[in-house]
Amino acid sequence: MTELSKGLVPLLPRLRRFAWSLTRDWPDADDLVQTSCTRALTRAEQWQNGTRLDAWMYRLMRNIWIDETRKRTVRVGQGVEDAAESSALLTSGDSETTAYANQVLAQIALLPEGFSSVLLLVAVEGHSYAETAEILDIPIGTVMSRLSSARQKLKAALADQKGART
Amino acid sequence: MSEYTPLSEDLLIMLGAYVDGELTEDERAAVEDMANKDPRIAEELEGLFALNNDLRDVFNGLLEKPVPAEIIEATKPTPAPANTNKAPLRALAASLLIGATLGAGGMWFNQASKQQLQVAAARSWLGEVAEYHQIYARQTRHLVEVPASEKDQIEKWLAKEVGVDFKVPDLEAAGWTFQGARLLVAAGKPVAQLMYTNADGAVIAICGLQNGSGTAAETELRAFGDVHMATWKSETGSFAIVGDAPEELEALAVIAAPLI
Repeated sequence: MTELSKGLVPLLPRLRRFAWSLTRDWPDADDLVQTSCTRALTRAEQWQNGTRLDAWMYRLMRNIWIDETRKRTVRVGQGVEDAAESSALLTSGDSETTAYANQVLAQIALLPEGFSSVLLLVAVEGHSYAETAEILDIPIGTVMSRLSSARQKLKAALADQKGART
Repeated sequence: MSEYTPLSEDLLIMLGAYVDGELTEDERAAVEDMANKDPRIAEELEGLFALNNDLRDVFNGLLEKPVPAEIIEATKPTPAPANTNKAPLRALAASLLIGATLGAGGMWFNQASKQQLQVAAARSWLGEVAEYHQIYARQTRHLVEVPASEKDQIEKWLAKEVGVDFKVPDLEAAGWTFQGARLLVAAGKPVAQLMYTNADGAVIAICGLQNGSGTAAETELRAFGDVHMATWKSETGSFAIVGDAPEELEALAVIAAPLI
């Protein structure tokens, strides 16, 4: 096994999560991870051992996904994945926690394209704005405005749901 | 919920940057000053922190979804020409397995030959188990699919899915507490995985799959990168105990083998 493939295996759960943030659809996410790993191995010489493999893979995945969405005439996201579909996302844990987690995921899936990856990278994985901009190949200002807008939309949607329940 | 004037977009971006730790000392102080003076800003910050917590919980939950075998397979370098050297060995292994299955009784053949061939032709299940271990040993919060409290259920469930009768070995005396089980697929076959942790938070797994060869085999130590295993065979199953410390694994295998 090469250094690269050894490094990839423990990263797989995170690569899948990032892929989902791009595609918001599990079959697409899994295809994307698989294609990206295969592609990465053919370009192993481009990755410098010692530099961050996750960021390198994220960039590769993002580029492959952009190519893929350009090929598809139908835009992915924008309401394609409804809440019912997303509810299959999490199955473990107690039911109330899981139900809430699924609501949050469904709302993330409904965000405009490109917003959920920003949320994941900054709010969950703790990448800086600059790193996030580099990974997603967008200006820092776009990172900031997408983040803020994603947060406001999510907060509003989740507050509405809480309001609807009580 | 009904503020008269919504907070401006620029202010919201700044509050977000505060939460994300992207502000300078002076900017942070300015935001804190604003929050002290304006309860709406304090409330907004609180909401942003709470949302971050929710996002972390939800996104981290996604890490526990089992990784499909095809994806793990895609991390392997494509077989180099050197690999063809192994082809005769694989063919030999396949024929030995068929021979062994035939020898065990014709009844077995139809049922098991296809699976056996797959096992012989595919990469070794142990290699795949080693990779799974690298992934699951990090899932300290959601280590298992079925918790240890459902031990009887686990024994029935895994025996049914995997096709090998076994008991969950009690390794408490050796310092390892049973946490529960997962079902994996390696080399195209269902594999039972029993997870144990010790006081230091280290994780070991006992993995087993059906193996119709009918011959028992003694403990053997193997290494896959940083992952070590002690393997053995019973008359119906192949087993491996997987972890980081080879010496301890060998001792544990000796304890566990008769208990399974």
